[in-house]
Formats: sequence, C-alpha cells, structure tokens
Amino acid sequence: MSATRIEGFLVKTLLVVFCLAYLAPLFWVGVTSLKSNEEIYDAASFHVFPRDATLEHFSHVFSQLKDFPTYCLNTAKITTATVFVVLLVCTMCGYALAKLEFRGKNAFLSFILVIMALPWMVMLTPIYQLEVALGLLNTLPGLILPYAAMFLPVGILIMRSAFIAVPSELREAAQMDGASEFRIWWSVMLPIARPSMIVVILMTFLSCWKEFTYAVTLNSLPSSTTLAVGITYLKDEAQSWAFGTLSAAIVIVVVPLIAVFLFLQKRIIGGLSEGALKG
Amino acid sequence: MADVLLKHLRKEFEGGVVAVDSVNLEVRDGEFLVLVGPSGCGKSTMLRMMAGLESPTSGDIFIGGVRANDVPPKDRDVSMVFQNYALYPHMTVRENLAFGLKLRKVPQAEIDTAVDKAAAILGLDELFERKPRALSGGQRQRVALGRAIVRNPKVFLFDEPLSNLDAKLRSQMRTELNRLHRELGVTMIYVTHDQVEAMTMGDRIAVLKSGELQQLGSPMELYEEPANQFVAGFIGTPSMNFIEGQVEGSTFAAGPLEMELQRTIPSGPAVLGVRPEHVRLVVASEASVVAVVDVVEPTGSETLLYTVADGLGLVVRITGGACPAVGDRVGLSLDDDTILFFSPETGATLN
Repeated sequence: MSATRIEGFLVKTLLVVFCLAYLAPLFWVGVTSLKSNEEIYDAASFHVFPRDATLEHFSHVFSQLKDFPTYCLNTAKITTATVFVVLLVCTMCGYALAKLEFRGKNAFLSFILVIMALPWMVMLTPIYQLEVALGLLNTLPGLILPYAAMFLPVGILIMRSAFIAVPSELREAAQMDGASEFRIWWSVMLPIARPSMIVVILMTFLSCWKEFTYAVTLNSLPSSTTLAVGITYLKDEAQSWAFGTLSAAIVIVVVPLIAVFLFLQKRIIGGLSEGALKG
Repeated sequence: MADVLLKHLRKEFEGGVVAVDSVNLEVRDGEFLVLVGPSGCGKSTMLRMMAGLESPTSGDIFIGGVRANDVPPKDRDVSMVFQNYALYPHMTVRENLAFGLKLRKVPQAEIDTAVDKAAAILGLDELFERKPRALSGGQRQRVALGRAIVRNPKVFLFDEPLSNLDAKLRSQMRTELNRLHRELGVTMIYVTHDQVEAMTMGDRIAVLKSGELQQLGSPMELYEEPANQFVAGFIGTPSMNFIEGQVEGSTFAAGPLEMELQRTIPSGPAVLGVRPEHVRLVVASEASVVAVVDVVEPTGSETLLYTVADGLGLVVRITGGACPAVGDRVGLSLDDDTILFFSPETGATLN
C-alpha cells in the first residue's frame, strides 16, 4: 500500500472509532428504553437487543411526571423564541458589521470577542440577581433572554463572515435598483447567506434544547421548567435512577434534536452565491 | 434623457489619496461618452460618484440640470452595469430584471411588458427561468444590461462591463452596445481602460490620468491632435513613437536622426512624436534616418516593423508592397506635417 492509502485507511479507522464512541451511549439508551425492568436488571442473561420490547417506560414517564408535557412545551417555546431572537439580531448585526461603515465598529467587534472569551458560568450570578430585580425569575423570558445573549456573539461573527463573503457590488446594484437598506438585507443578503443562517439556527437550537445550568438555577416552578431539568425529577423515592424510565425520557428529549438536525443539515449547501459575479 | 455636468469634482479618500482632482466635464444629452485611462486614474470613482455610490469631497454633480450631490442613488434615475455583473444569484433571470421595477411598485402588467421588451432587445427570452449560475459570461453580461435597460433610466453608467469577456465576445458586445445606444438614444457614460473600446464606442472620449482630465474630444481629435504626450501615447495601438532630442533653429536632432522643420518650435529640448503609420520607408539617400529591422510582426492587412538605429527605436506600420526582412537596413522618413512635438517637462503639445 502506498503512503497515501495507509493514511486514508488510518483516518477512516479513527473516524469509525470516534463515531462508534459517540453513538454507543445513544444506542444504549435507545435499547434500554425498550427493555422491561426484568431484562435491564438481569445481569445473568445479558443481551444487547430487547427480547420482549415494551413501551411501558414511555407511559411511565408521563404517569410519574405529571408536568412532563408542560416541560416539553416550555422547552419548545424557549428554544423557538431564542432561535428567533438570535437569528433576527445576528443577521441584522452581522450585516451592519460586514457592509456598513459606522463609528465604533471595531470597538464593538472587540467587545463581542471579549464577551465570547468569558465563561457562561461567570455570568450566572449577576444574571440571577438581575432577574430577581426585574422579576424574571421562573418565567420563560427569564431563560430566553440570557440564552439569546449567550449565543449572539458567535452568531453575529458567523453572520458577519457570511455577509463579508457576499460581494459589495450586489449591495450597490440593489441600491441602484432602488432598494432600501432593509430591503437589501431582506431580499438580497438573507437569501444568499442562508447556509450560514442554518448553521446559526442549528447551533442555537441544539445548545438551547439541552441547556441545564441556567435552566435549573433560574427556575424552580414546574410552569417554567425545561426538559433537561425535568428528567432529573425521575429519580425514584430512594434517589436512585430508574434506568428504563430515564432512558425513555432521554429518547423523548433527543428525538426532536436529531430530527431538526437531519432536517436542517441537508440545507447547508454552499455555492449559493455562485453565478453572482463573473464565472 | 439628461445631460450630466461635473463641476470641480474632487474625491479624496481617507489617508489623503486624491482619486479625482477638480474635474470639469459636460456629458451631452444622448451622448456616448467614454472615460478612459490607466488603472488608478480615478475613472471608476468618477462614475461611482455619478451613480451616488461615493460622495464627492467637493464639487457638484448635475444630472438633467438638477444638483444630484445629495440625491440617493435610487432617486437619480440612473442605472449602472458593473464590471462583474452583480446579478442576484438566488433570483431567476426574470426576477433579476424585474427587481428594480418591483421595488418601485410598478404594476405587474407594466413590469412584464418592460421585462419582455428588454429581453427581446437582448435576446434573453429563452433564459427567463434560469439562475445566473446556469448562464455563460456573455449571457450574464446581457442580463446585467437588461437590468439596466428595464428601468428606462435617464443615464446609463457602465463600469468596464466587457473586461471579463473573451476577445470575440467583447467585440460582439461592443457592437451590441453601440446598437443599443442608437436604439435607446439615451446618455451613456462608459468607463474602460481599453483604448480600442474607447475609440470604437465613444462619441467623445475623456482621457484621465491621476485623477485629472487630460483631454476631452472625439476619437479622431484625440488621435490626431492630442493635448499632451500622455494622450498621444495612450490612444493608438501600437503607441506613438516618442524621440527625445533637441531643436536648434529649424532643425530637430536626436542621435542619428536629423530633420528640417517647416514650422517654428522654440529651441531647446523637445520630444518628437510620430504615429507608426506616418513613418515612411524610403531609399537611404532620402531618409531622415537609416535603421535596422529588429522584429517583423505581420497582422495580415498590415505589418509592423520594429526598427533600431543607434539606440533609437521606431515602430513602422506598412500596408501592402514589399516587406523588409529582419536584419535589413531600411531608410525611414518623417514628414513635417504628421509629426508632433511635446515639451519634455510638462508633456504639453508644442505648436
């Protein structure tokens, strides 16, 4: 074998190993959620696939956690709202930073980088105090706002690079065509920057859906609890985990994530601006 | 339709670079004016100021008699064709053409009529549903032209629109633009660095150098009566021959070349300019200078001879007749009525 073929083989092997390492827990949770308690705890006759697949754990999730549907709804609402706010602000802000000239532009960029360098947890206490003062504790906006603030810096930078890549002539052509700045942003820039917008949506959606620390700190009422926090209530009276029920809950939490990811990742197609300028 | 008037127009960029320096220029109504000059001469900046994409540092721009300095691009009623087309990549050809009209809230029926008309002029009908990426360079350029036409503007601005096309397509589009200008009869201002484009397309040409207007005139005026050495050298291929020498009384001398002048040129150093077609091959006894043929470039209808005489290089254009071979000694003669003199200091034409 030539050097490049050996190299290719090694790379592929490593990728497969990593892939398996990442997928194994997910797979394990999946099969566990379908096994009966007897099968799960029967170490003597261990087997991978359920012999007698059952959905009892799924119904158990809903019977044990009366507020589970509320958690689902809360998570969906918070995630959707965060994605919407992040997308709106990122695309506008990114456009301004990429294509417009204004005083303080570079200072603002540096500010964004500094914010990005700060760990999330550093901001938890001040945000908590702020929310106490504003009465936002235990409300959905109380999570949406910090989440949006958290994902904005990266999102803005992603959208800024996307808009920088759009040739300035397109903006000028649209100006000559009579488009206002808003119209240029909406009708010309956004459609071209769609792949980057999908990246921002995915990133925000995935992180928001599974966020735990802020969700557990800023909320203590069932009316505003999210799924990531909710499934921790599944511990039984002895404070030990019921693995079957927990696995079923995790599956319910993870399935929308995977669905959204698979749905959007196909749409991250490059080359959209191809053909705008000379060949 | 409208005339365009530039008064003391000046553009200074951050860092003190002066792109356009106090230019006065009048573009007549319905005229095809070409702004030509080497890269960095400020021609594109001038065009962008007329479009409203740059604001002048000082001076005034009038379009159709109205001062346009503070009028935003969309309200100037001008349209612009960009060097790299700048088509909207996510829109079909039809949407690209209709975008400007849609923004102006023109009724759909009128948009359709205008788009169909422009498409018919440019032969775009068959491409309506395609996206720009599915078009060839020439087709993209046509769509860019179409987008400018549909709005029926008072003034068309072109920023080197043909420079990305291959030679054949370029000459074809040149003819097409000329035809378009005839058909629409609208004021067109065209920026190029290609003097052949300037000569073949312009009603008048404005030659720019370092942000300053060198000369404004018809193509033949620039060719025959250049205002200075820069214009003389810039217009015409191959370039005019320049010979640095001395005028003493009525004699011009430069190395092996010596010739009697019938006109009065102030004594002192001077640069003689002569176009390649005005250098005649003659027998040695009648020659102003005898030179050796260094390179022969036949182009079919005519042949270019690159000759050297004692370090003095002269390009000669000959048509028909016997053609000397490389290494031949040829007698060259210059005629007093076809040569020009320039000042070596200022470059200005001496009379």
